[in-house]
Amino acid sequence: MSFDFPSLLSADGAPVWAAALCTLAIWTFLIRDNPIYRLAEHVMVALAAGWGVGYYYYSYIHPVITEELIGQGRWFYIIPIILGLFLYTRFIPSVSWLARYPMSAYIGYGAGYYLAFNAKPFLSQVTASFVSFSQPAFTGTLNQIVFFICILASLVYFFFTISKERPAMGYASQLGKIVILIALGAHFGNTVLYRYNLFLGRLSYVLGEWMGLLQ
Amino acid sequence: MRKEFPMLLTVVAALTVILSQFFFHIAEWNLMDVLDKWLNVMWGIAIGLGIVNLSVVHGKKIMRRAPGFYNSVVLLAILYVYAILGLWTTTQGYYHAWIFDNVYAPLDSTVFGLVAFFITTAAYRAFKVRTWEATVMLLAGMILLLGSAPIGEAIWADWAHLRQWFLDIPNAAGMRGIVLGIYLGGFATALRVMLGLERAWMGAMGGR
Repeated sequence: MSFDFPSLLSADGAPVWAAALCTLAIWTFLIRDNPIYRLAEHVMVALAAGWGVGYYYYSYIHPVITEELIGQGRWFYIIPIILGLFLYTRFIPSVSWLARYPMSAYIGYGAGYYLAFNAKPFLSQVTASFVSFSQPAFTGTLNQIVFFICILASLVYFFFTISKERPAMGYASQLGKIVILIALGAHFGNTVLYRYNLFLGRLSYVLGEWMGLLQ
Repeated sequence: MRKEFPMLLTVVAALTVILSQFFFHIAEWNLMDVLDKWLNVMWGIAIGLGIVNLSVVHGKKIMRRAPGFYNSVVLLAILYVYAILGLWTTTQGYYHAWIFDNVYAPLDSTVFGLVAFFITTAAYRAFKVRTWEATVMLLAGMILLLGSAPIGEAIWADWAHLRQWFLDIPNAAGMRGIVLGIYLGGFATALRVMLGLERAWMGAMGGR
């Protein structure tokens, strides 16, 4: 096993060195908080924000100005530009209320979109909950019964307007709580797996692409 | 003007989307497309708000010579150089894309990967068997982890099957209950916003 670093000055090697050094700079945090990590963190924030400027300009603003406003003379496209600029009035206290105008458009669109487009997925979730108990195998039937009972129990847990003091409601609610805890535990386990996946990806990059140890 | 017109604008925007979705003749006017483009333009302009905020926060740190102010100098320098480079060459430009691929992307994925170490200690604290509820979460998390990692299969060949059953039956049922609750809560909130009963989004804005 021997190290095989790429040439720092070659066209193929420079990107690997840059990526590997950035990775190591972040990993220094595992020892303790230090100036190298903080510098890398600031560089990351700066690049994320700086990238957003070019991306949003060329994705959203530039096409509307060149194609709609100038190209087709649709003057009313000046309105969103003015409304967008109103967002900056929050820095001037005397006219800061103007920032509500663009916010109201966002909020109204969001509310309308939710009411108009989410009824379908909601109903499909409801209909998918009514599973068929008639399955070819007994285990299949048992699974569907367990699934249905678990859904009912988790819904009962969210009924806050009905008293849980009645035994049936109390037990159902307790079962619902267990089912929801299982779902949250599984969700947490998935998150842990995803993060480790990212870490292992970086580790294999540093050991393989940069150090040349995994060939 | 300060509260009434924004409220009216909210209702108009919401109704435009709803009517465009449910009425064919209104959908033909393409109001939804126009509104989409309007909001995208406003969204694009809003990115500058983040730049201004970053500049103000870090500018103050530099002026005060606060500890670590040199990081703020680097941040502002890179922010403006990279933003100008993006506007000049577009995000597809060679140098812009090179920096994104070889500096930003590795930094970003390493930071998110770094969370793996802290999430493990968080898992220990969260799942430590104190109550029966924590035990249930611990078991669910352990079954999922052991069923996904090769070590689980080395210990017991059927871990993967147990993991799949947990994902398909109790996990799916629990998530369904949560999702249905979220949908209903979302509908109620959207309706409250549209009817003007929910005004928290207007903020205090100096109490006016």
